[in-house]
Order: sequence, then C-alpha cells, then structure tokens
Amino acid sequence: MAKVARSSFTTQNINSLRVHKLKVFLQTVAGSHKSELFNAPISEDDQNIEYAVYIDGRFSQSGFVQPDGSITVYMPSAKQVELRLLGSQYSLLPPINLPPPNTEKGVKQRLYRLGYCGENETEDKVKSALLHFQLDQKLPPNTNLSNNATCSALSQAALPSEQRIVPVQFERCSLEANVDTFLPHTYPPFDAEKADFNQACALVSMAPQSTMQLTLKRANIAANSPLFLSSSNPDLLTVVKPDTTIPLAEGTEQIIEITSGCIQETENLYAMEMAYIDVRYGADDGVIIGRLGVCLLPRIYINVQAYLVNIHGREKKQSIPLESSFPFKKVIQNVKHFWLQYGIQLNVAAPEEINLTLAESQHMHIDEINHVLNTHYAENHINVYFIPHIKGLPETSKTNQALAFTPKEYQGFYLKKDMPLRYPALFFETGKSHNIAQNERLLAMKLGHFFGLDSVHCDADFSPQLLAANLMYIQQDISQQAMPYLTLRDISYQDNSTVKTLPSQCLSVRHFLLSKFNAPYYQTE
Amino acid sequence: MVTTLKKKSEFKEHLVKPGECFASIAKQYGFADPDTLYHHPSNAKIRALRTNKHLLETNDIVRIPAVQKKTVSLMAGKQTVLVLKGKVCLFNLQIAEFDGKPLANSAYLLEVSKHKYTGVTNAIGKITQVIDSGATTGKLWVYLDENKHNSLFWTLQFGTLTPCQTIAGIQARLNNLGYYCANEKGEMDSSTQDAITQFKLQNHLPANPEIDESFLSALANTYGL
Repeated sequence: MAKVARSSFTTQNINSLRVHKLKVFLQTVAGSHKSELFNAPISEDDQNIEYAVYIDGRFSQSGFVQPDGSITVYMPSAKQVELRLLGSQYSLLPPINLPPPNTEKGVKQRLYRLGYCGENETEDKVKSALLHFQLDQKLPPNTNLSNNATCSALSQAALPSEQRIVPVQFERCSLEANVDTFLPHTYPPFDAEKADFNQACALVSMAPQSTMQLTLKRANIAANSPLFLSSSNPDLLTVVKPDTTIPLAEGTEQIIEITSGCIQETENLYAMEMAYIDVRYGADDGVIIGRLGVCLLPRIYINVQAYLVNIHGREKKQSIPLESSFPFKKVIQNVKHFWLQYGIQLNVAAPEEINLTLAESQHMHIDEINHVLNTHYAENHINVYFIPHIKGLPETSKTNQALAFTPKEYQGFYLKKDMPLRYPALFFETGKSHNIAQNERLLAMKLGHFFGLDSVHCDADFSPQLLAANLMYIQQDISQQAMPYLTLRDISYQDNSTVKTLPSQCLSVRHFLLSKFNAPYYQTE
Repeated sequence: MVTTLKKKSEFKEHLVKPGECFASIAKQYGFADPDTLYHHPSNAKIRALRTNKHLLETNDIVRIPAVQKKTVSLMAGKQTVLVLKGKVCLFNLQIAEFDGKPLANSAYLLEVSKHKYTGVTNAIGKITQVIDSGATTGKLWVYLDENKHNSLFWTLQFGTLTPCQTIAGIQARLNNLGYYCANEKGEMDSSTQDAITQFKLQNHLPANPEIDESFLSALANTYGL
C-alpha cells in the first residue's frame, strides 16, 4: 500500500513513487562481476535460462538471463521480492541501507551480496567466506572485521545495486576412511592458486594419477534441483563418484570423488594442465551453473640417496647393524607416500652401508661427520644418513641416533629409529620409544627443508596435523630473497600461524627449486 | 420550478478520519469546491495548522459551515442546463528510479472507483489523472515493456499521506521514495532512523537520524509535497 495525497489545480501536489533497479548476476563463482576474474556468467553458452520475479506474491516480471549472466529487476520498496529461476526461489534485497563495512552486519551483507555465503550463516561460515574473499582480492587473511584493507575492498566489490547468486559451491573434504593415517591433513576448502591463476572458479590442485574427495554444496539452489556432473576433459579428470549419468541425489551436500589422469611431463616445472568439473542443470548437457577448476601439476622427481651408518668403537661392543635394526623400507615407503600427495616423487636408491669407527668411544666429532660427508655423497641427490643411537654427539646436536645432513647448509639433523626425539627439542616424548611413525614424520618434515620449506617450532603440539601444517611454511629469510613467489603464510586461511593451505606448496616448491637453487638435487625425468 | 436549499445557521465539526482531506470531506458534505470549506473563516485554525488542504492528520477538526442557499429560476417547459461550479480532484504522481531517473513514456493503468484510466507517463515520468474525490483506494500498474507483459503494481491509498512534519508522513514518504521504514504508523524505530540517515546521505546532508529542518525541507522537495 502506498500512501498518497490527492491534488487539485490550485494545489499541485505531486506524489513520488520510486523503484529500485537491482542487477542480479547469476554466476558460477562468488565475487564481483566487474572484475574479469569473476566474469563467469552462467548463461554464456547461449543457453536460455528463464526467470520470473514476484513482488508480494504477485507476478511482476519475467524474461531470460542475459548473456552476461545478468537479470535486471525493478523493485518497489518495502515489498517482498522473489526471483524464481532454476527451479529455485531467491529473495532479493532492496539495494539500500547497507550497514557500514566494518561492522559484522555490514560484512555479512556484503559477502552475501557477493555470493560468498548465505544470508544467515553461522559465524564460522562468514569467517570462511571472508577469507575466501580476501584470497580472491589477494589480501592478507584477517578475520578482524575492522581491517581497513578488507573493509575498503568489500565496499568497492559489493555495491548495493547488485546482487550475486552462486548456486553451487565446492569444498575440499576429507572422508575419514580416506584420510592419510600417516600424516592426515586439514585441507582448505580450495586452493590459493585461484588467486594466482585468475581462475573464474574455485580451484584445487592435484598431482597426476591421484584421487580427491570434494563436497558439492547447493549453496543457493533448491535441494531437489536436477544437477549433473561432467568433466571438461575425461582424459585428465574423471568423476568417480557419484554416477554422472544420473542426477545427483537430493540434498544440500554431496560428496564427490575425482581422479586425475596422466599429464605430459616436461622439464618446465610450471607446466600444468587445467580441467574442470562442471555442474549442469537439468540434463547432462544442461547449462553449467557451477564449476570447479582442477589444476594438474606435473610431478617433481627428486633423487634421494640413503646411507645406513654403522657406528663402531662405541662402548667397546659391536652395535647392531642398522640394516637389521632400522625399518628402513617401511619408513621410506611412508615418507614417499607423504610427498607423493603433493606431486613430489622421491626416487630413493637402495641404501649404502657405511662403517664408521669413532676415534673416541664416547664422542662423535664433527670431523668424523664431515668425513662421512666427504666420502659418501651423491651429487643431485638428497643425501640422508641414518645412524644408530650413540652417546656424545657433537654439542650442537643434543640429539642422537639417526643422522642426516642437508647438502644445502651442511647442518646435521638427527633421526633415530626409536624415540626420544629432541629435534624439535620440545617434543621429547619418552613414552613413545620405538615410534616409527614419528621417525617418518620427522624425516618427511626434514625433507621439506630441501624443498625450501621450513618447519615452525611450536611448543604446543607435535601432532601429525601440525607437522603437515608446519611443512607448509617457507623459510622466511629465503622467501625474502626469492621474490616473487608465493609464501604459504600469505595464502593461508587463518589469522594465526596454523596453516590450512595445501597443494599450493607444490607450486612454491617449484618456484623455489627453479629460481633459488637451480635445483641441484632434483631433476625431472 | 424553484429549488430552495435549506439554510443552517450553525456549523458542524468533522473529525478527520484516515484517508480524508478537504476534497473528500467537501464532497461528503455537498460542497463542490473544497476551497469553500478550506478558506471558510470557521476553518482558520486548521488552515493555519495544515497549509496543504490535501494533507490532514487523523483527528484534525474541520468545521463544516451551512450550505449556502441559492435560488435559481427556471422556465417551465424549457430545458435548462445547470452547471455545478466546483473543482475536480486530481491525482499527480511521478514514477522514477531510485536515483530520480524518470520512468518516462511507460504505459500505465490506473483503476479508481471502478474506472480504468490508461495512458503513458510523460517525459518526467508523471501521471496526472482526474479522480473521484471520494475514492479512497486505487490500483496502479506501470508497464515495463511495450507488450505490457512485465509490470510494477501498487495499491494506492488516497488521502492517507500525512504532513511531512509527522513521523508517519516521513515514513510514508521515505518508503515511497525507495527507502525502508518497517512501519508507517508514526512509531520511530531503528529502520526509520536508518532510512532517515540514508536519505540524508543521499542528499548530501549530515548523516544522522535527526529530524531537522534541512531534512524535512529536502524530503518535501524530493517527494513533491
């Protein structure tokens, strides 16, 4: 009901009725349509998508979604405006009264208008949406709502006169059954390459011939809408589950599993292939309403030479040879498996045995370590030395047992076949002696140093998750010298130092190896 | 034949109800011209209070003077045309986008008291229509395309707009202008405060929810009354 005044020739009253012109963009990816990155209209392939607008339950407008994915809706104020398309109903917001961007309400409404989250999401979802927005805008992650850079970007990206509808969203997920029990990870919803490669879709990275689980969320479309999945390149990417010949099961979330095929491997470490998982509406050749980009990174091959160092002359008795006391094969197998997940294949040669007789039974001098290095060292390999438990290692070590040396800095680090571990020194777990898994984790982590990744010594925990997270860091001093390349801290998804990003580190490794070290200990095959 | 209207010496007092203005009240009491009532000396008080005869508030008091007697001589056997001199009631409306861009040359259909008026908005998006002064509601369709498939619809409540100085009047104007006030009953709430602030922002006034002279003036100018 509009309250209006009568008029007469003597009293020229003019009433005003103003209508809002709201531009609704139907997009496959959240974000501002004005940016080329986000210019991902749903109807670009000439598929007509019909829509209708109802105002206070009464039909008002209808038409077809424009080629740029837009719908122009005229809205009288103070009325319930509903857009119907794709078998779903969307309530449209009047394009006024956006709260200030540095308030929780203001941030929520802007993220909703941009399609990053639903209208009434939980705090966690809003934070996740905010981090995704920051990733897209190449802003440092920060969930502090008074962050000026983010507020400014939000204000510019989310205009009151525009609203975006992103029907489906992907997120990486880890099914319990498929979690790597060796080194389970907390995965980010999707990867930071999205920001790097200007992909107009969510993006995940995969190593060739690997499997990944994802969650497809019907973020803004009816739970019973007929959706089909398809791969843009079945040779590169296959949807294993569910069956792509039938519509997806009804529901707000659907677990899907994809596998990657082989890719052409070259010496160009940057060479990668893209394929897409498309979500289609209505039929298996229907209009694409959602898209996940999958970045297939070529595998990196790294040669590893292991040495089993048998120490003699200690405690006047013959030590048990490592070959028989140390489960080398099992440890290596798991470490290889760990790095293979990130597209790094370790080619581990059969271990060489070294017999070292110490000059003093109670001490191992640094020159004796150097002697081992000087006499047993394979070029273009990561050289890893395993030694048994001895007492009196050089003062710098504090730890004992298995020993490895990084050719990068010629610093030794120490592994042992049975705990305790004193490196990182804070994780001295006497109760976990003979813990092979921890040996594996430590070795895996140490190998990360060779790839330019540094561990963050945290005194809180040494869980596998934390270890995996720690691996994702690049050494700060190196990252400054080797600019520009991604620092994983920059693309992490959280405020604090617990990183949840993942295969981007492969890219970082590539950058690192190529630009900084000219890859002295790796080669492609 | 001679018709004599009965003269009343005293005037009545009329308590204004929602939707009434001098035009509808005049019609109700048999006055052809609302100005007769509005400018009558007995209504000096309400005239001073309500400078626009079409904008009254509920419970305003309008005095109804006696209907003046007029004697007309008519010749038997001859047809005579009697012309009632009075003022017609108009309805003026401008349709525009939120930023003021008019919806020009748009076909419309206005339905008032079972009469259907069709036309096209002029260059400034304006509709002017003579309507029954006693009509309280109307329906308006403004078509967005030539084949009249897409349209905007409003139910109109004639005479319910109250003066700009009232909270209800502010709320109704803001809502009609595309801002959002959750109620139009004159109850100040946060949505009204937000809308006032937004309006001020839009009109380059200090952004606050205070109702001051500059705001009222800008609102009246923007709305049209």
